[in-house]
Amino acid sequence: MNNSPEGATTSRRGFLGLVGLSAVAVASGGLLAGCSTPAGPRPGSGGATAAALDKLTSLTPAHVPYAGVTPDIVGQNGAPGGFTKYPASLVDAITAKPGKGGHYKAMTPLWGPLPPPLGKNSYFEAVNADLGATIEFNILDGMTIIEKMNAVIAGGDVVDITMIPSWTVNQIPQFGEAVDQLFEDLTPHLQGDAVKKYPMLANIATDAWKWGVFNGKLIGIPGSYTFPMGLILLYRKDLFDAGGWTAPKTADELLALGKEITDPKKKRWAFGDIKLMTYQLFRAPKEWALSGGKLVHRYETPEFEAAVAFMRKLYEGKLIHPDIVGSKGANAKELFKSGQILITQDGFGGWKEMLEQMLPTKPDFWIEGLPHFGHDGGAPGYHKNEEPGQYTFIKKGLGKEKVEEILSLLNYLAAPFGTQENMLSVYGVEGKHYTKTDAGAPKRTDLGLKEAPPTYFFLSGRPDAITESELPRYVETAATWYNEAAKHWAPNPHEGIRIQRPAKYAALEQPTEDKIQDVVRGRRPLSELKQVVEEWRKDGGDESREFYMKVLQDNGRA
Amino acid sequence: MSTRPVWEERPSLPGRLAKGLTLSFIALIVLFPIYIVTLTSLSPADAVNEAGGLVVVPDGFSLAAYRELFSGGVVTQSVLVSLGITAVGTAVSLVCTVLAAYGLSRPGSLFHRPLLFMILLTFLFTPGMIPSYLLVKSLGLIDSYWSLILPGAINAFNLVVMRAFFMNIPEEVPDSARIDGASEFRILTRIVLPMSRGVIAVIGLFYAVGYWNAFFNAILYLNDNAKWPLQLVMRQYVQQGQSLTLGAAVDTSSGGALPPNLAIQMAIVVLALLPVLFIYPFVQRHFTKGVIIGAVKG
Repeated sequence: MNNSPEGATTSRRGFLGLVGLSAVAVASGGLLAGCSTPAGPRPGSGGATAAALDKLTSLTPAHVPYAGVTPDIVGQNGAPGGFTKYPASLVDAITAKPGKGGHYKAMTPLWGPLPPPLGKNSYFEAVNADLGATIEFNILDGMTIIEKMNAVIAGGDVVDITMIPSWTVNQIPQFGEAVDQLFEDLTPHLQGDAVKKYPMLANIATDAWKWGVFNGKLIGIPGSYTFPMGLILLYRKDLFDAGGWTAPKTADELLALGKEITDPKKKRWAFGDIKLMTYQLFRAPKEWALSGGKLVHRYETPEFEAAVAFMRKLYEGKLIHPDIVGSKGANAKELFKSGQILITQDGFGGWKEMLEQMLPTKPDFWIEGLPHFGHDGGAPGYHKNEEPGQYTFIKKGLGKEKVEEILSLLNYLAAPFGTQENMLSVYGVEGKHYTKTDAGAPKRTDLGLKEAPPTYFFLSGRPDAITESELPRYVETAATWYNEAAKHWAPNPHEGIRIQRPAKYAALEQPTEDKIQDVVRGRRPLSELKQVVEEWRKDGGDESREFYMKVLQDNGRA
Repeated sequence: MSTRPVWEERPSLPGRLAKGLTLSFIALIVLFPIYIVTLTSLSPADAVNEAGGLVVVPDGFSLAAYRELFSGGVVTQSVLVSLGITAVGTAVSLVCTVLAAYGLSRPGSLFHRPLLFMILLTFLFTPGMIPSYLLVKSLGLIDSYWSLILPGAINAFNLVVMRAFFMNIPEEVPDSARIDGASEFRILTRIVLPMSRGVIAVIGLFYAVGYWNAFFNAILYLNDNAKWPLQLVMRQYVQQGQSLTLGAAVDTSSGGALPPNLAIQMAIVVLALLPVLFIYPFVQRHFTKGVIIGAVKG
């Protein structure tokens, strides 16, 4: 049966065809393969690469929200809910043992110290005992996961369960072809009502599942989905209050505030690098915008130009911390925590991470997401992370029985916050790996910190929530902030469509960004921005526009 | 009037002062990072937070970072692994390099020119990551310590240096041994090697430092975390908490372990530095000699 959606036909070959190169690609396939750019599949390798969002629904599992646990602040518009107090009693979501005694190896990346391995790790033993099966982790170095996965995929060396972050998937050449050969097609196990056998997997949103479809088959189990804010602006609320400053409502106010705050003598600067957030304050599109039936790239919009001009003012005014200006690797987090930077750009996770790090020694430390504003006092246009953060794949050819056992294990690990299964698989055993605070929230012990980093958690997806009830003020602020943020997504004409970026287009990005950076930092005059964009158009931007337009046409959106 | 050329004249006082200052400055540039890394590793968490990064001015003393490192068993295990790989790897590499270099240094040895050409070719063309991985996989070495040693057992540069040293030994020396009835192996072990202690020490050091610092092969070839060497474990500590700044959308909201403070990261850097720091002075006297030989002979 061919499940490939009709629209899933825009491919690299299509792109080459569009620019009149397809004959060359076919005639010199080997040659091109030998010297193609590292990212992305070979030109002319074919295969469906632009999956049609609107035709995928039939492949995805039915969505049956789990009603066992309700947050105190309900998430709206796709924002995560918030738990200001820890659930008094945890729900036992899965009563039967999911495992049948199998032993499976699982590969996951980790950005942190290694835990002791199976056999020397009481956390692994406890979770495996409750699972009724053994999961043995092969932890990968998070920073080099692309190199490692490239080799693993090329060598066909996958283990039983493999978690791959989505940004890695998108950078592995020919992943689209390898995925069929290496990983199990889960469509027969999970499509439609079949998923109801795995109620926690059925709790994952349909929009997330759509991204798990590769080549017209449901192959990947999507990871976390409900933190779609990629980056946010954080500010030192404590220092703002102490200094009598208020949050800005326009770009002009932000600039004026920056001048007021910055005082090199006091080792205090207003900003870290906030370029990507500035684009969003000026409502520049994430990538493409559809305007009057034509595709316009971010670089070509007046909003982008205004944002670049604004960032340039920040650099000219020396309002950005000199360490950030001077070195690419300056640690903005540390500078922000020490009060040398007052407004910084970070991931949403950075908010609570820094609070957790600082509050034990500095109880007055307080940071918040900067209240939402657009450059002109209107709304911002936030760039949404549509794709789930990661996928979990099951090795092909394990046999129906093992695949079903693994799916049961992943179903267990997909149990959401507020369930016993989630507590055990994330925190471990009470009294050993964590203790409960007076508020009932878990607090990791030294053993827990060592033995229980995110491992099982990475193997499955679940609707996430803001759950740091030990910091109720944070939960309330963050959940409210998020509900507001979720009203301001920038429109994206390609929303939900998996597109393999043409190599030429992808290769164009860094040099162009470097040129823009030169303008932002004052190394080139602002007037040259137009020339930079013109060069981008000539060097492949216009060709890419045709490719992206065809994607829209294939999907019936243009 | 002195007959010495001008560059051998006794330098003037200002000249010596300038030289001394320049060298002190260079030494400071080298020592300062080591100082702040060591100081940060020995500072309490408060001092690190207060400094907003690396500590430059001492503010309290704490061994907490080192205690933390050695309490889990992972770092201890990785130190043992690294020591083992360094010891075995250096031994294997030295044996292979000495044998190959000796063979290639004797003008009459069989195929020595094509063999040398093939070895020199690796200067120009290194195998790519994927072909190397596929080779190691087909040899059945994935997840084996040998995967860290065998692919790089002979370094072409080291081989060329050692061959140049061996070629420097007058042919009359082995010839006289041959007249006395010594075999080639005996000539190598009893005559050539004792005359080559310097170059062996230097090349051994190159290999040892290489094995001690290597981590990329371990990333590629080792899946079993218990086999990870120290440098790889160290990376995990140092890069903690960077997933978000990378723009990676991987969710870390599981309430996972808090990032260790900078002190722990720096403690592990100190730990990784120590062996090299200790071994260098002992091999240093051979160093100049060995390097010069590599520079003028080829």
